[in-house]
Amino acid sequence: MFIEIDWIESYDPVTGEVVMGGGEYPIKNLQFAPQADLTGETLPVNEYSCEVITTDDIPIDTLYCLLYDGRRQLWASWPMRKVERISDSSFRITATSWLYWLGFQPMDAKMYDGETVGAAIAECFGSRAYLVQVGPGITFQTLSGYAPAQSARDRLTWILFAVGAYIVDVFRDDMYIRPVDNTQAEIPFGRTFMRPAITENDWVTELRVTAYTYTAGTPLDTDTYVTVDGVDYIVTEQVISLSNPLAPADAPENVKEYKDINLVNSNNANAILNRLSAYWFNRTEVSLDCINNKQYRPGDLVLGYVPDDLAVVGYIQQATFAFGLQARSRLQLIGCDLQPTAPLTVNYLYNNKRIGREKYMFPVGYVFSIENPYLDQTKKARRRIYRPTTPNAEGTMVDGGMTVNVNYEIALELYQGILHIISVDGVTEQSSGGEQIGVIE
Amino acid sequence: MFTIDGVQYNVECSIERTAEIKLSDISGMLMDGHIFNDVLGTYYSYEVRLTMPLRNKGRYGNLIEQLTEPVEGHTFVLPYNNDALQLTGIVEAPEDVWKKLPSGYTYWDGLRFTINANGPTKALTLAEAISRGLTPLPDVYDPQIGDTYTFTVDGWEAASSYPDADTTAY
Repeated sequence: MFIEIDWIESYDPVTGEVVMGGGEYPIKNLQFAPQADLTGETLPVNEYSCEVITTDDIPIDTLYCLLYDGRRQLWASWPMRKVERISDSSFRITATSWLYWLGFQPMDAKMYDGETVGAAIAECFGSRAYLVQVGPGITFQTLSGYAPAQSARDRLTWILFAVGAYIVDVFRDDMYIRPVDNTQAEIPFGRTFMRPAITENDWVTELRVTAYTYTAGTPLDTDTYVTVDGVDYIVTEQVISLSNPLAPADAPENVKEYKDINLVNSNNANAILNRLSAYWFNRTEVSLDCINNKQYRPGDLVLGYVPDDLAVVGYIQQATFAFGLQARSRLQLIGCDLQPTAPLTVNYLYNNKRIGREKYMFPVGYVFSIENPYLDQTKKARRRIYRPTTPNAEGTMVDGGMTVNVNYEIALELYQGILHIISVDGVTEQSSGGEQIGVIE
Repeated sequence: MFTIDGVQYNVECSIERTAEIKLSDISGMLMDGHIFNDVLGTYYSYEVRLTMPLRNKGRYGNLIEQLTEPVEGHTFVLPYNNDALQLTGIVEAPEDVWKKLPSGYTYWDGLRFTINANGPTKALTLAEAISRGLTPLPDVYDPQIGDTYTFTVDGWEAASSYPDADTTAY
């Protein structure tokens, strides 16, 4: 692992010319555990800290600290928040997401009346709006309601809560705001480490959200009102609730309540409740370790596996990374739904003889589609590339397990130094203008 | 014989070589019962023992001073199979014995030290670690079923080449 540190070497106020400096430094003792809050209740500020090995001085006015692995894959790109010399040849630096600085950016009170989410988020970031991209699913949604004078970070938290979105600021050099959705990534059984931990929390029996309506007018003495730009708005409140159908009748009452988030209104309150219910009504939390070469990040919905032949579907709240050649992460999954699993065996057949086999574990009812691999085998000095006659093994997992057979044919055979082309897909065009055999990647 | 930072020591010595295939801390047992080995690479360490004391006291002093420099590593050239291996490594625990003969002649004897490589001599990239290490097959321009190709020192070659009008073989 190493970090790239970029700083301003010089700035000419007359010409506006900026000369950038920078360098790459090996690091050790990295602590990197990004989070996402799917409830939108808070906006976690992600950071990493590490020891930088160098005898150079690191300028304080550093702009960015980019965290890379040995393959030059970017893991995070945040500004430096703290630097301290810990020996003659090392510093400890802490790089923190831009969201930290938004906490110091004041914003005036505002009455939103149909403003798009994209424009409202850009306003929160001010001159640094270029740092953030808003997903197409939410950028044109509109906001309605009152926001008091608050920090840009608090304002952003409210906006994200109102529209059901979260910030992705890892594995990329900017921030991406995406909606909480049901797209599910699978963490394979064979990529999950032993001994996941399962915790059962107390049941949340009911969710309550307060929705606000603002009407311009002259308030009576008994009215609650706010004044924005000299205009008075009368506030009316409505509490909307949703009971947990999963909670047993004898579960002690435990109400999770969201109020004083004034961008919640009668139009978005039900969507907010539904989103929060996926999080709060499943009371199971799971902590599991898996191989994670940037496939799974905080905020993602994942399907994983735990002991006792169970699968778990939950949102990643936090991913704590450790690095070797590959990366391993401990994932904290919340709002987990536990499901029974069953084994799937895929047999690879050539002339009705088995030439390979793979075993999988899937939840019962899971619709699987597994890409059938090309098989490269050498027997008695004959090297053969077998290709599947169907691209994927597909089906729906049934209770008790199942077996799927896939037929193969020989594509290429190498014998005594001569390669025989026996069956190919055809010719595919390459971008260079050349052509390449279809079965060879 | 070994070389330290470009200075060659042609001395009588024995050199013991140890290879360690290092795994990172993220290795461990997977749910399917397999062990995930995250291989960082093959690291060599060499233990060098001088089998005869150096007669040249000045040269011996230089060697000791070099070995005991408080630096992160030296560049060594050491025997490797039928060849030599250059590696950067740290010297650990150099030790020797001061001796005095009845004649009053004094000398240092029994110098030995260990060199631990700072980096792997052999390492896989992530792609290599994931793949199964098979040799690549040829890219073929316009393949036809029934064509054959032969692997030569220049790579894959169509078994049936034919000359063009200017006798260039294709």
